[in-house]
Amino acid sequence: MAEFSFSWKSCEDDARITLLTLKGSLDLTSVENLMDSFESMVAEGRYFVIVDMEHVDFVSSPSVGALMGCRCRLIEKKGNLVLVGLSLSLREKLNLMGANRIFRYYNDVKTVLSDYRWEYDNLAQKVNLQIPANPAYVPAIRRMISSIVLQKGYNRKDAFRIETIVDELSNNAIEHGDHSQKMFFIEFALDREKVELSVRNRTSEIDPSLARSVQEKFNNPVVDDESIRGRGLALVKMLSSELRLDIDAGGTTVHVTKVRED
Amino acid sequence: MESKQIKLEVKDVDGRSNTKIIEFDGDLDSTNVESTLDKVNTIYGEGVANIIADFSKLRYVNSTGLGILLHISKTAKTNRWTFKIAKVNDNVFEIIEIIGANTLLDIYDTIEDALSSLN
Repeated sequence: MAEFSFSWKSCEDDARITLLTLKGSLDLTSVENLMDSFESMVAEGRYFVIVDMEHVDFVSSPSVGALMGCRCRLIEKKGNLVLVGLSLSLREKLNLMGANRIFRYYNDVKTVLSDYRWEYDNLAQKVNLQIPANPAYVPAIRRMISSIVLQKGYNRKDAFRIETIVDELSNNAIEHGDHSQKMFFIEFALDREKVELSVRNRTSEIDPSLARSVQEKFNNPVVDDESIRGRGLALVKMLSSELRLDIDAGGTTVHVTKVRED
Repeated sequence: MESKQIKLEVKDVDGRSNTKIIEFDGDLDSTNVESTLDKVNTIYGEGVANIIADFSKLRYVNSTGLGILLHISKTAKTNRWTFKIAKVNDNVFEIIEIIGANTLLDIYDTIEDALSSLN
């Protein structure tokens, strides 16, 4: 087994995060040295630590316990300690020790940074989509956005409502768009508190009187009880926190904000 | 061709030859409302007077799907048939409620309740 060594430095892309690189065999003796350095890190105010385990070939139970203790210290300081670069065999071993219930594992530092900025800076994560203007594509798109929302910790009800909003606005964009145009567009951004969605289609130029009429119908949707269609906008209005329509020379864009409800 | 988004399974009801249960499994949306309507119309056309739609596996419905359900319900009433819905999940029920369709559709908690209402 390789001799234990470690080093730490500020993360290149974000100095608030410390990258602690471990190498070799992590047993209780080797961890004792590490603990001294850990105390120095905490004293310097380094409360968010990524432990790079890529070159670790052995972990003992007491050393995992020590790392759990480090994590607890950082959590108390509103920080965290997460693991990256675990090999499959090391991951399995840690899981047997129950470490997966304590630590978050990441594949790489970039993903940790993205999550950190989401969690601590409340930075929105964004997706831009260009989609064929064909209703057959809509189910996959609405389910994909709903599953992203769910993965980001929103509850199932919010995810379902957002799925509905995406579905209805996409179908409207296709139905009311210029049929010679082959695409419509979705911009989607979410942070911990809200989802913002813009759905845009392309149309031939809309003259001002028609634009006013479209805006009026948008603001006050009327449902015809006899018709099979025409309820989507009223539904979106009820499910959204904010709803706005922009009409310009090239098309229409519906903007929705949906505030997280849990 | 049946849509990938939804599967409709038709089941007999013991002792009631004029009644069928249709189990909706999947998502009822703009991609499959027409095939769904065709299937339901075919079943009514075969001499069935009562259909109970089992929604326990219906994960999702959109406004067009609801529009079709309202259309089926209305057509059934016009022809003195019945179209009843049972076992709706909370998410789907919320959409039905927002559209205001809960007062227009005949909705029951269980299949048994829906069957009993036929007596």
